[in-house]
Amino acid sequence: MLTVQNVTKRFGSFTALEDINLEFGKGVYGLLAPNGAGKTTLMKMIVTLLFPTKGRILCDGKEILSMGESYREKIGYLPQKFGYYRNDSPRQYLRYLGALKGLERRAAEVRIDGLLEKVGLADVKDKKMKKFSGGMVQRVGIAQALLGNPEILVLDEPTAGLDPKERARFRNLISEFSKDRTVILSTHIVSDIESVANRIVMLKDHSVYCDTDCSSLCGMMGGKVFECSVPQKDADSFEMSHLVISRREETGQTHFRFAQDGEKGLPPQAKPVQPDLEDVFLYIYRED
Amino acid sequence: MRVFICQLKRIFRAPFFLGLLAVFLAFDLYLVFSEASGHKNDWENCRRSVNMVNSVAEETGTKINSTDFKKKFAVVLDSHKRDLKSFYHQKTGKESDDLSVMLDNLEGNIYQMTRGEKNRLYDDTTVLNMENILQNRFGVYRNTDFKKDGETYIHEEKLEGFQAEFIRKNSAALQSRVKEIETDGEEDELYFPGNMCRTHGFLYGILFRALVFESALLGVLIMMYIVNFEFMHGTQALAYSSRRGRKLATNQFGAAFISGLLVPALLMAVVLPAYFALFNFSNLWNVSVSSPLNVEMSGIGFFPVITWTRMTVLQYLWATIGIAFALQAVFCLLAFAVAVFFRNNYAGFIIYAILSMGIIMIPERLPWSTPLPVITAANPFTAWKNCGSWLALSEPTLTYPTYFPVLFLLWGAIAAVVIFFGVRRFRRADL
Repeated sequence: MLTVQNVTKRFGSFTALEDINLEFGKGVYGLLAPNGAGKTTLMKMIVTLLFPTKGRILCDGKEILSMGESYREKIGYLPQKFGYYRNDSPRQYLRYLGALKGLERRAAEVRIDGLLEKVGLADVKDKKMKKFSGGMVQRVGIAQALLGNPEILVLDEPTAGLDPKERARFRNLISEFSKDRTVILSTHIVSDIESVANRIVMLKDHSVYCDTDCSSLCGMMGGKVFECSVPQKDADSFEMSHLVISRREETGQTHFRFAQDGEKGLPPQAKPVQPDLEDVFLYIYRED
Repeated sequence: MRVFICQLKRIFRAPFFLGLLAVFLAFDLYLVFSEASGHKNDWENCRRSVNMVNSVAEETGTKINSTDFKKKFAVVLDSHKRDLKSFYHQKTGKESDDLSVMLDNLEGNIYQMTRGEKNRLYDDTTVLNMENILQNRFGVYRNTDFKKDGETYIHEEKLEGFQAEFIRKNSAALQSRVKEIETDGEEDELYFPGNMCRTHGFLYGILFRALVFESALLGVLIMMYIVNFEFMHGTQALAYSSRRGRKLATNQFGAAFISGLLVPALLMAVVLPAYFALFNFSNLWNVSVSSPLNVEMSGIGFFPVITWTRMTVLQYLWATIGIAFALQAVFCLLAFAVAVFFRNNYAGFIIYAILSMGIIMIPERLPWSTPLPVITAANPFTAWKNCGSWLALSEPTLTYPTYFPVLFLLWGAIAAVVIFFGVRRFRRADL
């Protein structure tokens, strides 16, 4: 159990996070917030790259900073941006990170081969990474995060640069991996979180906005999301007067999905629809 | 251990390391070979002089004041005089007993001689010169009065208090060392004559100075490279959140420090054997380096090598190698200290270069009215500049027997304090 207790993080006069309280048990936690809301800051504090200005983070009741290696050996981390050694092959790269993670050499070799297979890089495991595409590098990053068989997996934008097939492979990998483990992932691709996360944590104004499961979160928007079509000549004025979530042009008509509190001013042709996580995201962060 | 080995591999595979090591080795070998093969000045002759003196020592022994030496040297000298006569007759068809006439005539025709003939003439000349040098050797020390020189310096610089006392004390120590040289037999020992061979000046003042500079440069680059390695590659988030965490800095320091010390070892392992293969010291390893023959031209005068304690040529070489390694350790520690504060190789290197130049210039600009010139001169950069006069008579601020212990204690402590605070800061730094 990972507990974030009254954590505040300031960088000079800028407050990135204010009085955050969260608990992460087993399962997949999706961290949702717009850019600059403090997701990466929170993740970096969890992996001990940043230190809280106030408050503390506990792992099974012990403060993580005092646990040192015994805490870090439980962590797997994929940063939003990470570098690699251009002349190393994925295998060499993972060997080095395996050594840093304290893995025994032979066990590491077996695990590296298995993980490269799982992320679809088995045929290029001895090729230099400088020739890799962004997606391939990202998959090496995912493999390194899983390398130490971590109890707590922290993934910052893990699907960035992956094609839909790879994203599906990643989601399956995470689902399989998350049994009896804690996975905290942030992404802008809301559908990734929707399909794998057991709980959603949303940050707003540098604080926790909500910490709940996906269906409850979508339930909060029940009766507030509608769809309708309007003539194309009226589309712009409609968009100005409503909180539009999506817009699609059809023959002579513009199809809108929009959110609205109450039925006042609701176009007669509007039909209520089942809200999804993207609707919630766009509704909550409409002013950001 | 695996992490440590990984760091070592990173250093030894780094293109800058391999490239600079090759360039430095090539340059040092060029120094040794060009100076020994006559491309520059008179170094082929110098090499022959060194080897000739060494082979004379084999025949005569090294106690130049002993009857045995005198007898044997007379035999060697006679043999070379006869050889010169015969060579003179062979080249001119004339006979002469006057050495200066023979030498003048032969040297006038040197451009018509074969290489073998030139070498023959040069070997004979070397032995004849040795005779003159041996006869005049006592002049060097007997005309020296360090106490008087010290008082003159104190008067000229208007020194008083600590500074005057410092100069007086060290002048007196030097004078008593000269006395010791005169009485303990060091004065009677053969060495490569400085004004003929410049052996000491080349080996320590040129070759070792180059070796120490190159080692320091490569050591500093290694330190900066490895300390900032993860930051340069953008892998710091992965590396420092791993189980090893920020303790990785310890492995990095260990690997870089050992590699830094390996640099002079690698350079010396190639360059010194090459030098000693060309310049044969085999019969003179055990003579005192403070021999009255070890006097070279410096500026407008002759500068004798007077070490603070009796040291043989071999001991002085080992001591120099030891100091070179200790200086390398200090250079590397300082580079690590700079690197942990400035996590950018370019900035770190520029700051290191500015610091080193500043530290060299500081002592010269401080007033003698304070002890500061003496304290600040005990620094690794000035010590490098003074290479060739280590453990021996040198400039006033550098001439005291405990110069190197003071330097290593002071700068070891400075580096340790800066590293302590740097590492502590890094352990609590947001990455």
